Amino acid sequence: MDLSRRDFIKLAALAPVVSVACGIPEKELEVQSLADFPEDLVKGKDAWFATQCGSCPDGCGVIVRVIEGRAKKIEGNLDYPQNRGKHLARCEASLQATYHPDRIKTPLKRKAGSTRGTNEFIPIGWDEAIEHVQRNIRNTQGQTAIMTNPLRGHLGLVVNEFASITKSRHISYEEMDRVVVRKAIRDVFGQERLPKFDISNANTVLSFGADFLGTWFSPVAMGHDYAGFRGSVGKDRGYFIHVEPRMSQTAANADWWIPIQPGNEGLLAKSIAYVIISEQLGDELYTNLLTHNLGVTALGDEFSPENVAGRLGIPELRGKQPAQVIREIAHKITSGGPSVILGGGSTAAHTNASESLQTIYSLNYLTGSVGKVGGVILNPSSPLSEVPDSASGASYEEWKDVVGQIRRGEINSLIVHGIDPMYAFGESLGFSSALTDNVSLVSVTNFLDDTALMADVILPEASSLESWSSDIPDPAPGYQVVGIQQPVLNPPTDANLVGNFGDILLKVADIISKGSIPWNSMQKVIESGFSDLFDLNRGSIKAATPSGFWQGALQRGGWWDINAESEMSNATPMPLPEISDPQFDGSGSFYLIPVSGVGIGSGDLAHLPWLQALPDPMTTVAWSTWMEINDKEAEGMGIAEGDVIEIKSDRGTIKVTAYLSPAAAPKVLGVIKGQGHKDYGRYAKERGSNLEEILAPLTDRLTGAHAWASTRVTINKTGESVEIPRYEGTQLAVDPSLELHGVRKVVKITKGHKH
Amino acid sequence: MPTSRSLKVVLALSLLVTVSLVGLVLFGLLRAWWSTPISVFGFVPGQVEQPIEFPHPVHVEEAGIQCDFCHRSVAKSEAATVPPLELCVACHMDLPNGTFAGMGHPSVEHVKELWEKGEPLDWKRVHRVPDHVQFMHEPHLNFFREQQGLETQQVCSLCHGDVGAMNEVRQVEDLKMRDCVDCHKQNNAPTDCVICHY
Repeated sequence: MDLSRRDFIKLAALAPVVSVACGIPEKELEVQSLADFPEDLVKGKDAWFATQCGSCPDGCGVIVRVIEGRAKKIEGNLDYPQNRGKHLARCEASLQATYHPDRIKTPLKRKAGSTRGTNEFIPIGWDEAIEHVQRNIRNTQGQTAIMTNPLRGHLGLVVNEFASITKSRHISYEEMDRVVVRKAIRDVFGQERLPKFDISNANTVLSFGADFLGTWFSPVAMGHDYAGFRGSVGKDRGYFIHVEPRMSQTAANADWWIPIQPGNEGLLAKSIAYVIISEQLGDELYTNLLTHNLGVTALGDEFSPENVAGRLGIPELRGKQPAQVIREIAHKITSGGPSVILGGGSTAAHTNASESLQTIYSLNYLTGSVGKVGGVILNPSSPLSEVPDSASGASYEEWKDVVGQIRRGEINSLIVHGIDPMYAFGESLGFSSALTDNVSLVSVTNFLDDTALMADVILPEASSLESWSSDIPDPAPGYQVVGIQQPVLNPPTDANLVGNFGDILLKVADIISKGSIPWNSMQKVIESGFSDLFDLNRGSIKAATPSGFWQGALQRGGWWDINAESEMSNATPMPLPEISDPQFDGSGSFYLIPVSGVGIGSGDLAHLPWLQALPDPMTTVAWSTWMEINDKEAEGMGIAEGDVIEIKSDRGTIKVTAYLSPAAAPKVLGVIKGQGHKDYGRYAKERGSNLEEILAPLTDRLTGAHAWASTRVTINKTGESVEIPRYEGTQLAVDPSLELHGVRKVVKITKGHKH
Repeated sequence: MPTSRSLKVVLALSLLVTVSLVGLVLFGLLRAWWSTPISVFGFVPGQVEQPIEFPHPVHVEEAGIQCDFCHRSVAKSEAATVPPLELCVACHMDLPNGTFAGMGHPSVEHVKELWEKGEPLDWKRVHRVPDHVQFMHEPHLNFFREQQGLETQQVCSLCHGDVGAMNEVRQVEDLKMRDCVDCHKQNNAPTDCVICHY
């Protein structure tokens, strides 16, 4: 068809007119009454917000799907450097923390004349609650203690500021093995922040007790790196050796699991160092620094594999005697490429833990791994000088000191947030008996945990999905990162809240300081911090204005600068320390190894049913306090799966259910932590036993941290038996009659179970 | 000096661009008007012919039914939703003597017939905001009910007028941006652009 220019212009002019004339499709102007329509079918539009998880200290960046003002699903934020799109089950479960049926929604005050711990509270207004807090702080004049989890980011800044204004003592609690790890990192690498363990580029990983694929620091980040370590394109499959008395999830993933007698990990590490130095396998410069140029004579022949082997409790492995095993490990980590050597978990929970960890982390110098790709990469400091990028929990001895101060009347006002010291320490510190009527305890929490039960006033707070905060991940990914937590939904309409912990402290501080505190809300604190980041004029967000920068940070979940790496530490490596013999409390024949849950952790997340129901990766048991015991040993004692067992230490007795495992080392009992709460909501209340009640109060010699793996126990059958709630099947994984090439291929997951 | 041929090409292209721009503007204006019409050209906004009669006064004023009994997603969703026919039928059947209420009335019989056939009833939409505006019923209703203690019917009438007294539902408020912003300001609600335009 011929189309003249004139026709083309006519048609072009006609087109918009026709499109308007056609107008809106008829259907858009109709609305249907369907014949049937399920009542619970609700039309909705979703919105996705980038924020911080806030469930645990791992610092995952997440994306929350919100429909009609309700959070529906939480996923990992693909952009966020710490977790790169992956996330923990704990992140998902923060939905349940927000919508929990037992969430406290209004300030509560203990009834006048009632006894602490009897759960007799009455609702009060915020004016009265704030007045109570600020009056106690004023009246006690510098005799206030703020007890929290280790706080990084802007909440850490606010709490530091609050403690300064009110002249309060700030003390933090975290699992005590982490206190030892942080001290060892500080001693060996000369910096407070945890380094990045560059597992993904490593050739060999040697881990002592650190369950980094399950519960240790940031298992999401490390699990991601581990995938690269095992199978990234263009890289040989890395070799992984794990040393731990119990077969944990991480041990089960290792090429070589070295079941060692508890407390001897440092001795093994020193013997490995002996081999590296004596056979000149390692870095010469650091060998000289670590031994004062004395070489192997600095260690002495007492650490030769042959002399150490008999003391480690290591069985013959793959036809190799323990001395051969030590030499092979030394050769593995010094050949073929960079290595990462790390330690934590139960290794950091003995009386000689610091010495062990200093030796373990010093091996990174011997293998030339420090500051190298595929080794230990030190992290840069916070881009915001006043905002903490790392925080450590206090040791057991420091906590004992605080309780002593309370008992002596030197501390009369307590503000607790993010931790449950009454549960975490059990009765070992005498915390509850120190709380006389002269002491005011304010618990900022959304759930009635053991500490809140003892409180005078309970202040509920906006959850992490409902409030502002920020985080600087520790360990960071090797460069500067500041994550932002923004409110993605409003608090429940029946809740009476003033914000999160930071908002509450700012309200109190505003009254006490008579308005001199520079912020009036966490939102202002975060906005101010991100304005400072904008002024740096670098990093992941390119924007011409502070407002554009702020929007960019909210959209991506934070700010980071991949070029802002750490300078090499100037610290001189410390000489390899002496290793003392581990001490144990009790004369029982079993070593008790407390196990952190991948879901409920050490009990701080026991109130969330999804996490209660999350099967342990090794035993698949959920919802209970279980004890993992070697199956042959159990059979010898007449113990069957589900038997209720009494574990007795010199400190007390608890009841657990038996789980028989062929992978459990003889004489080692793995017992899950985190149950046995007095309340903590309907899903945790009086479920299982609190393991802390039987742990020995021994401490690490150098840090004073609780040596929670230094208890020896006896076990007795009670005669009761229950069906253990576990996920795995009750049948053998492979038919016992099946033989392949003459070898019976039976994978015996558990003992048979009668139904 | 351009040749006369190239001058013609330039002029033709300019004309094409101008006509297209005018057309686009016209399209935008008409579409915006069509989305939320104002009273021009004899067009009365929201007054449309519905497929059946639905006398709100009989249901609201006489029977005492609350708005959210029929528009049942209003407190939990973006859309208030019109009731499914099964809800109409459920009430009309639920009489003490077992009869179907309103039989003999053509509208009721039509509803019953459609429901028996499993076919929907197509209403003409009365209230509509432009496509670039996101409006959610749920937070508005809950805010006024819970923060200001209004009854559901009082909240609905803020934007929709006294529908309970209308035999034929019509639009009584402009539902223009000015109304939204004024109300947000009066109630300390956010007025950021992205609250409605996202």
